[in-house]
Amino acid sequence: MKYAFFSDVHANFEALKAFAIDLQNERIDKVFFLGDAVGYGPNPNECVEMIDRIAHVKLIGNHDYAALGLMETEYFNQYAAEAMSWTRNSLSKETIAILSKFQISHTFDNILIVHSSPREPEMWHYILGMTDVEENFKHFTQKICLVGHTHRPFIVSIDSKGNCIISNKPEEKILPGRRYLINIGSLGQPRDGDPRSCYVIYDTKTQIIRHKRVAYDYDATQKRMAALGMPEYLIERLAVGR
Amino acid sequence: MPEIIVKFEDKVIERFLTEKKRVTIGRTPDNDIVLDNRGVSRRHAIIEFGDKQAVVIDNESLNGTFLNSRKITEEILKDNDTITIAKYNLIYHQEARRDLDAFGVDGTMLLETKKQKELIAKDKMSKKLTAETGCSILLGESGAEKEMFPLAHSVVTIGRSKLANIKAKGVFLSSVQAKIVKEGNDFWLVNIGKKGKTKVNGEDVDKYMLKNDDLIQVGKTVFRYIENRA
Repeated sequence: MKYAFFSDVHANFEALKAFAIDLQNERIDKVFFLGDAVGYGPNPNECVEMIDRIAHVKLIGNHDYAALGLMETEYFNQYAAEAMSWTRNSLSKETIAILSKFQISHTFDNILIVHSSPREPEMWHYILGMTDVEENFKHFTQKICLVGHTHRPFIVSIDSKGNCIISNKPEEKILPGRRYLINIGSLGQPRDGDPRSCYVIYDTKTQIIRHKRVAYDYDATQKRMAALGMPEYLIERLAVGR
Repeated sequence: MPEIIVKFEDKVIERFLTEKKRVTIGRTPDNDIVLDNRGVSRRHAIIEFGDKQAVVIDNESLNGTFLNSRKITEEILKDNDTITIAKYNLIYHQEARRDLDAFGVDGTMLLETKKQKELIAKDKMSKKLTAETGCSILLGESGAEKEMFPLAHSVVTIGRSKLANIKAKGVFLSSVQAKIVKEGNDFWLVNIGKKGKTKVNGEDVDKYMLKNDDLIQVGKTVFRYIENRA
């Protein structure tokens, strides 16, 4: 089986379309969405509708949560809050109905998926450093845990003696005796310096897990955002992946 | 907690953080640090961590263990020492950094910064060129007569004929193979020749609205479309 995991689309329809094409090229069997369909970008309704169609399992992210009015945006930064108030006003009834069905976490095949962190999924903690990683390894029992949320891909593994390996390769072989915490990166607003979309493919046959980058027409997304008068900062970051 | 940065030919491949007293290094998967390369012995070397210091020990390996480029059998490690085993460099840090993208100035980050700079430079160049001409342009990428063709008119033709505004090369090419038509702020590329083909980013097109950075191929001549975004 070939699984694809994607996250943090943030209403970037151009990125989502390029991803959908890539899924077919890669012959993916099952698709998992790890949350944050909306927020920041210009096409929340189109994105939610498409994610609902292409993903077999759908999780909710903090931006989706806020868009549904389930949490306040007081902890959001200024740009995210501004984008969120626009998003809330733009969501159709159908989109709200679809988003409301997204799950908080999901387990299958000894894999846990969650938007932010296995420690307290609904608290939307960020896994930013090794201290967070070590803490979070204590909060799941599965072999692999995949997260999104920070838009920064990483692969960290831990062996039975507590040694941690932070991989700097785009792909890793899943080894027996190790457990893995993996950030799958962001489809619609990468922040690791590479403007291309990022998602994860896991091939259960070869046991290879890898970050896949897909170029998309960010120019078109930027134009749409500019036409809607969205903040310049949010528009510009798409071109540099920051 | 100490850490060992594993590099292969100067590219960081992983960071190994440990609290163990003893770390084994070798080619087989039962080692703590696995270096999958023929120049590495099955059980090549060991690092032992004492209370105050760490020691690297060569395990009678075939190709040897080097510390800061000197062949050793057993040696005390200092912060930032480099252990070389075959094509691998292992850098020892007494105290591991706590961040995740700790590749700092190495590997991925460096590549990304470089890529980012290239992207920004390319973008600046495009803006400069279109600002100079005041219109969208085609850049000659290969086989073109000139480096730059301003799209200053509402219709610009491309083809084999001398009468075409922009010359293109190729055997199976019509005298006028394609035209670029301005409609409002957009430029449309239209294939009009019957003999040859017009391609954008490798795909055949009949009528196509150009986007910034599109690669246009007419016969054997390739142009890059730079949109005037001023």
